[in-house]
Amino acid sequence: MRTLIRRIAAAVVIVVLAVPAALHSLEHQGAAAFPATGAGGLIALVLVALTVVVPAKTKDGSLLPSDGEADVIIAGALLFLGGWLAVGISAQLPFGTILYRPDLVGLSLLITGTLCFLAGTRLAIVLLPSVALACFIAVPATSLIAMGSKSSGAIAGGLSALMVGSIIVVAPPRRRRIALAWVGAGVLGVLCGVLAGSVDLGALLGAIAGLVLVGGIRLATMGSVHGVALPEQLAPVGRSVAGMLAGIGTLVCTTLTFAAPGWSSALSMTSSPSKGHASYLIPTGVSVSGWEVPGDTPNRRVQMVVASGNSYSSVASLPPAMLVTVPTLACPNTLTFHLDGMAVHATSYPSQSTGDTWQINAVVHKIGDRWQQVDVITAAGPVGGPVPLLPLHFHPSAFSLTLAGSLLASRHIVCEPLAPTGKVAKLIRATTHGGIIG
Amino acid sequence: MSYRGSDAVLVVSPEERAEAIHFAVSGLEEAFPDASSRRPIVTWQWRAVAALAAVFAVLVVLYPITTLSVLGSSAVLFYLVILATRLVIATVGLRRLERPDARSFPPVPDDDLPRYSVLMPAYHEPEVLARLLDGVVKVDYPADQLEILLLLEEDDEETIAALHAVEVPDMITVVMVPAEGPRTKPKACNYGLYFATGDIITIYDAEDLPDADQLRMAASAFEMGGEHLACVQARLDYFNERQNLLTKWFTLDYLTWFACFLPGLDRLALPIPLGGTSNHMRAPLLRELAGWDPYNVTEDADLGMRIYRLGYTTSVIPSVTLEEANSDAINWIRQRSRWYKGYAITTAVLFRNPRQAVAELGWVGAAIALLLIGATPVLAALNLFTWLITAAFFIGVPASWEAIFPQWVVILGVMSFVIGNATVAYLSLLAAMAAKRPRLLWAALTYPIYWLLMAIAAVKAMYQLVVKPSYWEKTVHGLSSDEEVSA
Repeated sequence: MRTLIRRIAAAVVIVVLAVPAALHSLEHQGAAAFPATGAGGLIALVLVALTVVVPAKTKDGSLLPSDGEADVIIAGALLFLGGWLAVGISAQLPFGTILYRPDLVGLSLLITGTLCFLAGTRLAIVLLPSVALACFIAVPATSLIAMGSKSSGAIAGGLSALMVGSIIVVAPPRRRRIALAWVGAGVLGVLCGVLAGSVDLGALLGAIAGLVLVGGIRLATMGSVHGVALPEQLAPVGRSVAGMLAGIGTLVCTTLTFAAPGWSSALSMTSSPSKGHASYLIPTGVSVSGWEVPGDTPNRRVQMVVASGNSYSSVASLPPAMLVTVPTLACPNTLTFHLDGMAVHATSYPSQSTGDTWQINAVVHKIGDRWQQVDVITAAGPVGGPVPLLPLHFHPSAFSLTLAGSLLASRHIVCEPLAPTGKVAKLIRATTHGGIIG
Repeated sequence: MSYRGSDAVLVVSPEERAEAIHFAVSGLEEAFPDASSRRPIVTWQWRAVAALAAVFAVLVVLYPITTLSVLGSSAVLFYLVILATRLVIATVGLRRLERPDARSFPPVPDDDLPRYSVLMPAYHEPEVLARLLDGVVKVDYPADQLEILLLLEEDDEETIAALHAVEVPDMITVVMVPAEGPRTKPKACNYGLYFATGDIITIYDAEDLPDADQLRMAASAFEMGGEHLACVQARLDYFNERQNLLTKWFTLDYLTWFACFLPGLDRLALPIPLGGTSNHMRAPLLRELAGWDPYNVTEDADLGMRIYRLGYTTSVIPSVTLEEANSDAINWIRQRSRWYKGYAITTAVLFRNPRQAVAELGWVGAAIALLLIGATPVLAALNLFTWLITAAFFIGVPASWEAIFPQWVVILGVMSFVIGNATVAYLSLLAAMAAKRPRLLWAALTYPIYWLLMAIAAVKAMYQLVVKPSYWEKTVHGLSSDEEVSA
């Protein structure tokens, strides 16, 4: 009975945490975001059901004593991490982004830590995975950001290759198992490619290299088992060392990609700027993405540019000629619009070259010192000629989550009327995928 | 097989009782004062810790960035050294796991078998008593050469009541251990040792299921091992690995330790920290060593070190004792925290006189003792903090951290984090596959979650090391079902 009550309590906590998060996400992302959010809610509900229904496998829970010291230690760690996420990290965010919600994750950890302190670790252990997963799933963009993280992608690629490689290396030398292992390797390799390769070519190459290497070693040691390639007595050691070397080699490959942006700046443009999304990696290692926003006046255009960088490049100056120019218009005759709920005030600049007046909105987000710095610039002006942006200075940082990914993933611009009598605000949604290569 | 009831209890005179309890509690301290952990950390060690802390504090104030940078990089190097050491030992041990033990243990004729005493301490374990009595009669050893001493604490009313409810096989004698001195397993074992009459002594926990021929194999190993072989350690494994993910992790943990590390240490002739049970010892030598340290909560590891220091050897035999893996996370944390605390105490006692320790263990032996025993709890406790720092770097940290953790330290740390974790997971994966237990595969791949539990246990152990060093965290047994036992 007591177990059931605790599980129901767990379910209540999960619902209390997950549902508002999902609703909040839905409210701000609009109906288009519902599939992801709804799926998150459904998965959360499944988790709730599992938490309540699945019985404990221990024979008799009443035999087990609680442990006050462990409660305090676990609660302390959870409260520290949760407090830091909910207060420390959230305070670094200068605007209320809805796509990345460290405050929600932090809140869940704070609640779990408090429960752990008050009701014991055993309850917290039941709660924690479900709570964390529910919160994570309720804000789906968090996982997108995590996938878009360059460093995480590199590590994910390396570790996936290591895991698959390990299985291949140690699998018994039977044809069916090897075939299955290779199929598994292929599937995971593709996944690695999708996750890591979209943002980091080095990670993809590292993963593939690791897979090929361990596959080759596996074939060599297979031969040794049949007395062909290596002496039989060396096979166990050979397999162990070879497997380790393969793993380490893979990881070194992927680790090298930490420094890749600074070296591979010559990659330059990766997609067509003709219409829609375009990405550049300028020589300083700062990546720039621009895209069109559909407009309703043919002689004006708006471009939106997101630039981000990392600490391997020093201060970068963005030349206007590098910017993609697309004819469109977002918010004509307005001086203020909202970008994800954040008010952006426009400033007008005369173009030095043509004398045309441009309305340029520069929003600089410094999302924590170790976060990738993201600058959002919108410019509206006459069609033709370069965009007269002022030189931009970046102070980027490394090992960051690519927040630009969140800014690009789901963008809402709500235009506000210039006059008080105003016209109906227009919601323009511009969506693009990935694109940040820096 | 005949059975008897409450008359199985050993009748002890007051004089014998006083002598036995004196031996159990104070024997080691009187014979080898420096080897006793009654005061686990002596004054100079406390002073050294305080001095180091003071120097560190001063340096942090004067040169904060340099000091913290050096500390961070030292921690990374510390991890890498331990990683390399474990890799070498495990690789050596893995070969033995992959290739069956080539040594043969020719059976010793019944008439030549030594007299055996089996000590079976039990405390607040009424639920496993029936299983224990059922299992012990399956041991294949001549009854007239076998003595089994069931050690019960005299104030353990529930277990004593359970004893009265069952029939006790003839070969078992129940010894009531006085409720005096530290309430630890080694004290109970010392008390039993006082009354044991065997030439070889071994310990089984209440829930143990040893191979039926283990005593015969150990006797054979002693006969072949020569005079310097003081102890034979059997491999410990679990019978309930399928119960849940925790038991799978624990099985993997034991598999790596007993099937890889200990055979590796054996092969390299390095000191072996004994397992809690199924270690078979020559009785005269054990008495010469004054038995187990009653104040040490990992008296087994401590005894392994003392055996090595006296110039004797320990060997590992391919016989298996099945135990019950802890299936509850909190129960597991309590048990592991005791082990970690004991490891820290064992190391502190071992290096009470560092020069003597190095002279007796040798440089390599001393280094292994430090890296395998002493560093284990430290590393596990440190993990909790390093993981938090790692999480901080991935989530976002203040700008001031960049100065404390320069780029090269961060890269080195990330590499250590990734390669270190992958290596240990990989080793356990190899052990699982070499032992032909593919069902442990996913447990190996999710091993880092298990390390999180280890980290919590280590922090708890560090706290208890200061506050209550000799406190014995009791592990609850009997959480697995009967089907799992019979499987």
